[in-house]
Amino acid sequence: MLKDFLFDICSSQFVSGFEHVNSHILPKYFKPYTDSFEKDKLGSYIFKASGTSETNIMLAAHIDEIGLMVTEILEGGFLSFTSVGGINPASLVAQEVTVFGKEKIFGVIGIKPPHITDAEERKKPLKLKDLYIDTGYPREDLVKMVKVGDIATIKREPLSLQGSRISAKALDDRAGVAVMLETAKELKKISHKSNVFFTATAQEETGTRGAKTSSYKINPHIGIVLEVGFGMTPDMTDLPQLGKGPIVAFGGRLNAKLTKKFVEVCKKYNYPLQYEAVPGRTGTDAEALQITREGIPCILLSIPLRYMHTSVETIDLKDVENAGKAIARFINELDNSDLEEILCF
Amino acid sequence: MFLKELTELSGVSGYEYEVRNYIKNKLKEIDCEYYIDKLGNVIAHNKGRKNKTIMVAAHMDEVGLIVRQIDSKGLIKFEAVGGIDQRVLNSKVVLVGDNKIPGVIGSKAVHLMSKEERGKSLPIDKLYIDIGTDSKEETEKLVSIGDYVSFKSDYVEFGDNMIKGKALDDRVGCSILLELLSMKLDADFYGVFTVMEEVGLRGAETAAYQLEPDLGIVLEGTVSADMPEVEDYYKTTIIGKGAALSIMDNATVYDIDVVREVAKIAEDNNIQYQYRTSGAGGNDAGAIHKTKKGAKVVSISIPCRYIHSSVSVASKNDYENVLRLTKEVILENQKGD
Repeated sequence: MLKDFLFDICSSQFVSGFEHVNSHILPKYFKPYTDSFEKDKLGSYIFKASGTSETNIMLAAHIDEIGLMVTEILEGGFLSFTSVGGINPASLVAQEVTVFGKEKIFGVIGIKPPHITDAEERKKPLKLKDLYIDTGYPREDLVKMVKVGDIATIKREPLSLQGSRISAKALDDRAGVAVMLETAKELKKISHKSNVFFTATAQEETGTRGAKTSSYKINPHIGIVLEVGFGMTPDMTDLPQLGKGPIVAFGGRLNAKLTKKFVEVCKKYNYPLQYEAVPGRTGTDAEALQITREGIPCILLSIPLRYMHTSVETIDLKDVENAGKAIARFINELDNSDLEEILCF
Repeated sequence: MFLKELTELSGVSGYEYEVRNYIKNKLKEIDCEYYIDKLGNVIAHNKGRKNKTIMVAAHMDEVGLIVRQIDSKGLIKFEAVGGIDQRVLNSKVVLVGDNKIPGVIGSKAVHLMSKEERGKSLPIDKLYIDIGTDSKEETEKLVSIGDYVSFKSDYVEFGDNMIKGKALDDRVGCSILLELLSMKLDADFYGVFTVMEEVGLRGAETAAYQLEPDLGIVLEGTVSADMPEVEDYYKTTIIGKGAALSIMDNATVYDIDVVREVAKIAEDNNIQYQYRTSGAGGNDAGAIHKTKKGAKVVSISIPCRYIHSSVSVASKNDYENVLRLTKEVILENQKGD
């Protein structure tokens, strides 16, 4: 079920600024567990599970993904493009893409074959301007289907790896959105006092913009930001591992006492947790939430993920499940605590 | 056209079993006589009118990877089989071994890269396949050193009569050769599906030794670099402009009279053709023309963009032109007085 959800949303496009295109998908999954649904003006999806108290808790995970945007339609059916969000050009070579023009158009991004490429050339860093989407159409046909400003994503079918590992594009941050759905399911089972706002934010990748407007709209007492974090790989051995639990962050963007409370809850109920210290910029929606209105105390929880911002982002589903349960339990504990005391300096 | 089936099979050089089995079954279906030689080449015989011995060759193998080591974290280190540009490996899905265990070749997050690292490709010895395991023991239950690895890439028809797949080099040749054998032409030729072309034209060498052809016709998926960034001089062939005739490459200086005869046959039959205008690369013709006392050879190729990657692209028009031209060349060479 969790995997089906992730495979579905990772197969769909929600490129930053274009989150409205597939607007039917999230409500289908969240509505059974929530009471009302609205959007902010930037395109964030807000699902509210009503409680009995006046406390508002906002969960934020961004629905948007990095992508490509067409900048020019060239002779021979090639498209020049720029990136929406941060993409390493090297990760685009020999990829299949879907261009979202008038209709969906298949294309590939290729490079010259090794037969006519010398060793020096291979070592040279690639730039976006050196790459093209090959659509296989003559230009005169293509201009009828594609316009400058249309977006494209890498075409990648989500993949099951061994055990509970999966690989897909856009797990950053659909994994966080999946945590929200897991939490929503858990909270449906227990009666919660707080009003919980499951927010799939828009435009995180282009500067945490949906988080700013959606949190203004919701005006929550606390924020729980759900993200993905760098997982350990051979070139980065000191990072959290996949499958060993979500990563809780400590640092200046986050409320120290609230974070401490979350850690206590996880320890009490034996939810696995990994830790990271982030003194300054987190590069997450917490950037926006923290300074919305008079300020929102936040915690940040991340799912360990390998190969971020490529089309083969890899996570362990266990981490998503555990994070979902831990957040539900945390909300339950907050409901039965004096929130003001926790937040008081 | 058998390209969907053929391109989705794995057949990295030295391990062409899936492709060979598919071809064997097809040959049985069309009731064509064949045998398998000691290297694994499939040698089929279309019996018919005969002036000379003709060998039509297409190679079954494709470039890919081979497992070289499994590290303590269960990640798989690999080596390239055939000419693979390290740049095409970033962020790919691959299938490992006979059981096709899915894995990914990832890349460091762009956020963690230094300015110098961005845009650069990593050498193959820094790359690894992640199948989702955490230890050497777990991976060793599923994967062994020496297992072959191929790209996962579905066959797709797109654009204006274009196709995309892995291993178009040289499953296009295999597909055309199967079609030629299905036609039951009254013209004698051997259809040879060779092994290990990508690692040094090995199969063609032994096949030609056995057949002693007077004329070798090599059907290939060849380089097309007709992308916007490439100067005309280096484009080699142009997609959609017809069958590509080789004049000279790294392995062969083609007999110019034979090449021109083939061009004339194309013209006489209104078949679109072009010359392959680069000396780079080489194919089975290199082995065939030097066999025993020597043989005439000609290469008739389908231009393929992004060759030796998981997303090679070709035109169905070119495919049809190569099929038609090869048929006419065989008929012309075996026609009676």
